[in-house]
Amino acid sequence: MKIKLSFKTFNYIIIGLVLIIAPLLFINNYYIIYLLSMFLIYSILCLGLNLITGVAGQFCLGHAGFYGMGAYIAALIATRAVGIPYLLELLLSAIGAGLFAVVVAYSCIRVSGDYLAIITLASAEMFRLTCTNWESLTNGPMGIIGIPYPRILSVAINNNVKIYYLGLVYFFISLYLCNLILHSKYGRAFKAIREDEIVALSMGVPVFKYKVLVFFIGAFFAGIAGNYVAHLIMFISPDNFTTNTSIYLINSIILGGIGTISGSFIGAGLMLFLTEFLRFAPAAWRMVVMAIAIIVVMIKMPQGIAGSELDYKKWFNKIIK
Amino acid sequence: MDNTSLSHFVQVTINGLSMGCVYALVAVGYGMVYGILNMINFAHGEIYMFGAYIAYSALVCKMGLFSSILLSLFFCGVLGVTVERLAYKPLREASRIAPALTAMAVALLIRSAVMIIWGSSPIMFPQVINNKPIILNNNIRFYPLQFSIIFVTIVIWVFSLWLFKYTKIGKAIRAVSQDRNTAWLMGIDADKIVSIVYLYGSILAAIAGFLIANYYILLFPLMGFLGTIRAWTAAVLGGIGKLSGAVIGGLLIGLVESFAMTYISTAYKDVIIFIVLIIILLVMPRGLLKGRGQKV
Repeated sequence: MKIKLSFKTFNYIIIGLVLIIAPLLFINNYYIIYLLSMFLIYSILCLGLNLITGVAGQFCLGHAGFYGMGAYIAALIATRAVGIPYLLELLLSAIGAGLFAVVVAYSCIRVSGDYLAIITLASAEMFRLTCTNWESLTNGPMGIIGIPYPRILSVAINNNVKIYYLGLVYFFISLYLCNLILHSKYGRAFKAIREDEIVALSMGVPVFKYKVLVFFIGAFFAGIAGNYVAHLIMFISPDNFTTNTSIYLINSIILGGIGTISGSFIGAGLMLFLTEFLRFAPAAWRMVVMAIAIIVVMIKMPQGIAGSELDYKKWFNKIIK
Repeated sequence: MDNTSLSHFVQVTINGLSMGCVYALVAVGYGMVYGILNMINFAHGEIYMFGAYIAYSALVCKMGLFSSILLSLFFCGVLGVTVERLAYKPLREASRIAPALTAMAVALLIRSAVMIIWGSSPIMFPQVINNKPIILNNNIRFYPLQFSIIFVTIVIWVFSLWLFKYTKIGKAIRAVSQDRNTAWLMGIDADKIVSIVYLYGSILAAIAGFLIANYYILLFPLMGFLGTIRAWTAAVLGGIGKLSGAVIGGLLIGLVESFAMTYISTAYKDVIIFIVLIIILLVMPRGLLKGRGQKV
């Protein structure tokens, strides 16, 4: 049997191998492994956001709220209710974030476009402000410290490399699930909603139900990422989940390619690279370079990087033939 | 309601109105660009922040009040048109979401430039306008600056409405906002009109920046971002594409903020604003004045 290797699978295999091998090369470099873990987090977040905004066309500016919900549930359970097993806690933070998104989606019941964007932004800000001010529960702006490393059944995840691989597992699972969703009847229905709600409705797509569903799925991934970040950094505070975070995520998916799966992690990687690679420069100059880079990329490729026909894609197709 | 609580109420209303006019002032300029290009202009607040900083430098260099206002108007106008030409014009035909990203990048650029030039810590704005409170009976304080902010907002609002409805250029602007290609076919230079709108929006931003800097007497680089979010909220609340909607939305937000701060809780004032916003959008999904519906 001859296996036909498409450009897409080839790329996925390469990226997968790089992500598996990379930490082994830098096993003593705490910083690089931390960066790679952050890349995984942002990729999972962008996958979820890309489902909501890219695939279903709901301009969501409140993804940081879902992310924060996952992180806070994880942190509270891990520090206050010590007996609960990790996998249950993971499930709770994912579902908690998802339910928060369902509430948001219900309050967007009649709106679309920018009206929806502002409601999602508002709900994320409301979440953040509540976390800041409800000091008895969340310790306010000081944040929650001392979140322990997770322990899955009898396996203790007790160093940075192990927790990186845990994140990698989440990343692969999310990628796989996203692919499944995108190519199922749900994915097609989401795309139909993005293109035209009225047409979708007359084709028999229950638009409102699916809108709520896509918010739930996107926030579910965000909840997983939030759970992971709480255990990775061991500290969370409301400052990690501001509007800036939401905007950063939106930037990543637009830059990477809106509505595409590969665009999610390309964008996440590029944004992380731009912010981290320029660390040596003073903060303000770093932002100048980053802004100019974004503007140039957008003008050259308005569809984002993954949405554009790149030269190396043609080159690959030529070789494979 | 006894006498003190009544005067307290009046005081809160006055504060709320002037705060609302501050938001309305930013939102009118924002709404111009927003209504015409249907683009979320994340850089509008940064232009108003930039204008305030220019005015600060001019005043520190002992320039007169009038000439420093003019200088800041000039710089903001140039900045607005340059940004439009360099960053937004190449993306005119792209999807709606691409220019939103370049706008965010431009906002980042301007904010960083301001941080490099003026530093990132807050600075005091020199108090040039006499702002001694007029004390009415019942101990109600009314600052002249509050009065001038309300006055300028009304003037700009009326002028913009007039410009929009009764002039030839306003007609062209409306045509471009309805359908750019058809406007081209009718002999309207749409690119020029868009530039004019940006110029006008930036000048309004500069005026707002100057007044707000005088009102709060404090400048900090993040004020642009906060201004953008407030202006956007106001514009959406009033209805996208409606000039008066931006003003009404801004006033409403200011009043809600002032009342929530006094009577409910300072810490949760933003939460209350957002709850009001969500309720209004649930009842009136296209804003108070029925703006246009749209998709991403």
